[in-house]
Amino acid sequence: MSDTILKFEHVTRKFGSFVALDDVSFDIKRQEIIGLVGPNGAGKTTTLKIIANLLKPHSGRILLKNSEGIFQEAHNVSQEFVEQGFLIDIPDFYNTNSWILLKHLAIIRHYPNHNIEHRVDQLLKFFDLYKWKYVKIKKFSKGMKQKLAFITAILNEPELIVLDEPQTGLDPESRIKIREYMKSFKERGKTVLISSHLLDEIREICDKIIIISKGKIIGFDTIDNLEMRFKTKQIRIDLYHPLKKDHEQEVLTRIEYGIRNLSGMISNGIEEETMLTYDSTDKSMTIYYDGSRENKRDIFKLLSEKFAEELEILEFYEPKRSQLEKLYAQTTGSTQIKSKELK
Amino acid sequence: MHLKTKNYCNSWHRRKSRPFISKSWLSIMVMFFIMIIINPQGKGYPYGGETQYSYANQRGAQFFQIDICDLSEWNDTIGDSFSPEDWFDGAPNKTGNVAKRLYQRGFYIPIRTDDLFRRMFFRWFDIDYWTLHTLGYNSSYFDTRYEHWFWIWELDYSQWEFTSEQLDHEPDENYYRYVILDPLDYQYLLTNYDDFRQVFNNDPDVQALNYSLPQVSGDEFLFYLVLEDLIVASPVNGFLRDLIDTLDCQNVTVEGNTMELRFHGNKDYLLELKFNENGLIDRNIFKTAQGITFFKITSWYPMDFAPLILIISIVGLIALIGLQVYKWRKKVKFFKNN
Amino acid sequence: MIFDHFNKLMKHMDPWLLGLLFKVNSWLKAFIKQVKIDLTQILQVMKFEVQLHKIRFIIITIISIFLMVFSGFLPTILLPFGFISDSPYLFFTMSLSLFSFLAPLFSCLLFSGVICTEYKRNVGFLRLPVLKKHQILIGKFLGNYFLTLILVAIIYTMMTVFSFLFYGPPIVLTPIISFMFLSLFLLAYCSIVTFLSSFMPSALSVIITALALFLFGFGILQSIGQAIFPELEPLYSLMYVFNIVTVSVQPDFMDQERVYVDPETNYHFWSFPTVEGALLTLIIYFLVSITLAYIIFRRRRG
Repeated sequence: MSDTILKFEHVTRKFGSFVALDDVSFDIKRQEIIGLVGPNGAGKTTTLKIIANLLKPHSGRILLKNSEGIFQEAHNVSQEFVEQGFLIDIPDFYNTNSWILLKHLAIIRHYPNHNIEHRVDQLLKFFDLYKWKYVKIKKFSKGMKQKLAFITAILNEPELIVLDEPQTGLDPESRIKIREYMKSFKERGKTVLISSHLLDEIREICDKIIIISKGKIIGFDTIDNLEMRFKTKQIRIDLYHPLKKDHEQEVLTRIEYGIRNLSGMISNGIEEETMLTYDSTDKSMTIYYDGSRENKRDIFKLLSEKFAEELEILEFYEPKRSQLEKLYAQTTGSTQIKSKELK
Repeated sequence: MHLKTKNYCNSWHRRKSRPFISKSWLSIMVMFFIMIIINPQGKGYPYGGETQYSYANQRGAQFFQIDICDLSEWNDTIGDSFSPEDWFDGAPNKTGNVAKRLYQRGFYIPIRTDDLFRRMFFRWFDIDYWTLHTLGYNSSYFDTRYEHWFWIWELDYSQWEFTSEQLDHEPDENYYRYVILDPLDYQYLLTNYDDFRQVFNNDPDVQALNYSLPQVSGDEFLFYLVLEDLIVASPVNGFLRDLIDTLDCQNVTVEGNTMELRFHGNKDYLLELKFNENGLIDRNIFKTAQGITFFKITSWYPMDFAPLILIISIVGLIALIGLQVYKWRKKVKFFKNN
Repeated sequence: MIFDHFNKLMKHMDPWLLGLLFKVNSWLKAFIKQVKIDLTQILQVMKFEVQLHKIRFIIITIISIFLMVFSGFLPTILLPFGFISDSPYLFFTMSLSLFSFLAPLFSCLLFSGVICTEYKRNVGFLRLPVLKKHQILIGKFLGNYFLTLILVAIIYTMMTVFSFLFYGPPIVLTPIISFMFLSLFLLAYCSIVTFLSSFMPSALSVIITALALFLFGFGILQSIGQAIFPELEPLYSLMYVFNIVTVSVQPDFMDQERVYVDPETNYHFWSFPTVEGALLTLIIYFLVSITLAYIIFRRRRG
């Protein structure tokens, strides 16, 4: 069942004259894990805060579906059944121990009283915090606090979980645990909206991503579809010999021209779209295309037939690694990532 | 050597050799103590009285209750001339009536014969002190004639008279009382009184005014003191024995903290006074010669509940601490297992 | 049978009226449900707040008991020149004059962080998505007020016990009135502290401001007010209203002269307010401060 659980309708939020969110709209369906990516100051945390009712939008509305299947405005959501869990920003904690805090949070979220201790113990054990159950939280390390913050979000087994950079400051083992836990959300019918800068993790966990930049949504789709749309799919060609120095630029220009003339490879209007990069030291070439099989075939034909003399192709393949960074850079205009040649 | 360094070295040496208290401060403190001892007003009273007895200065309320009041037996035994109302203020003529005294403050001070005469003999025998003053029997006269200093406790207290109704929160009267610490001082007093009595009674000016002071024996002196609720010093037993020895009382016996006075009204009767450890009279019992009690006043002190309240508080505190310890042990057990 | 009558009545009723009744009924049900939820959440916040401040409360109570015993009771019985006043009323008045200044100080320590701690390093993000702001405000306020009242009750009980030990029965009942006035005063004062907490950045700044206000601010305000309007009773000054706490121990305080006018300067020396004046002032201070605190809290964003 994949009905809509959250509707974000034409939301605008300003801070003085600065527009943090500009007419943003998206829907999230049940059992989806949505990643929210964007550069710093794009509006990710603002979006999450508005869903969590920590900020009010200046226009638009946010609708959440309750257990009875009725949409309610976020600030009017009934407190009878708390079906959302939030981890916003980097929270600090009250001056108490984790057991008292989690018990209190569970009670105010109407988690059944007889199950609270069991649930708390279960989560603490899973995240290796069980022996710190009665220790004051101020003695926790940064990573432990982050884990505890994650626990507070999922404590009452909510239907919708909103997480803002849940893996900041965590060791690799804890990251794996959180990743596994988030993957299990989907199997249990939960919906997750997660904001993160760790694109590899986003790629692995999320079904879809929302790319946000300067308060606007650039794209909201599965990663594959976005890569196709913004032509950030790669083909890597390893050469036996590097190109001859005096002909290098001419050959590359001709190859790029040939690629651009293939069907469906017309520029998508994105500035400074790079279709071809060449590394003489590595003796390799990278071609960005839309990911279609036909174009892949045509590119191979183009290179192997028309450029047989200039290129001695050793390998022609599509790398398995994430190309999300390229997509991110291309859509958000992040010059730092764009200038870095991905190997 | 560089000037700065030289100065630093000099100041370091000064700091090292500086005494804990400077000479000027020391001299000020010494002078202060000398002044206290000498007394700048020049009177030069002695520093402290020397006696083995002390007064505990018990403060707080003392409640009195009339347990037995057989007025017919009183009239039979003692007679009409002396009734309970002559002894106690208010209405001490009914069983169950209550009174209260609130001991508020005590001062340990030296006083002269003059103050005690005014407080005791002149008041008992209705001698107007100001008349005495005009006759030349003023404080200088007494101070010159009787140089002895009495170190006493002056007690300020409030009194609620005997009543059958509930006691008010405001007192009926405020009084003060002297507690003499040295039994020998009572003898000095009596001796000085007797000496003054002779001078006074033989003074033609006094005779012209029809004044005279009666002779007072040791027993009578003690009776007057008891009539005004005598307060004694501790240890009580020793003090009482020394007191009756000093005053050469013939009709008084002491056993423990109890003093028994023998009187004769219409018939022989006894007055038994029991003192508490702090020298206050706890019980007044009038008995016939056959030992039948016909008038009895007992007292109790709210401060006696202080240990009980303290115990309850401590028990409560221990219970709270115990609860916390139990919770703490639960946590310690948890930490041990994990 | 009642239902039969009711059904018959409904059948004959105007449909518009019937519809209105059903609407009112469902609104009432929703309202009662919301009130129940509110009360449950407020109670939880109260409990949590009491737990958070447990250690602080214990320390404050121990210090208060220590001060009362070592400045009031023990010197009276241990020091040779310790003095017991004439009546238990005077005893209470003297004891209260120390404690009455401690009570606002200690309650300030509890209330200073009611709102501002929620914004300290985003601590409030744990609860603000779940709880409504009025629930947090009321719950925290009531939790801290509960602790304050317990502290005051402990001290008054101690004074009553000491009064019994010194003076014996009957136990005076007028301290109950004084206790009620002190509770009301603390309600008003703590709501001012809560108001300060709603816009100040940290608990320390709130404590400093609140204490300065109590110790100097109202006094200065009173002096200025009396200079300009000498005949106007300075009910606007909480310091003045505070006097009723110590005075109300006296059984006949309502008959006492409240104001002395200097015949030469016409300066009015006001001693204490009337009961009605004190009640009105304290209630107004409480309502205004707590309302402002709520409004600012609602608008405050982390």
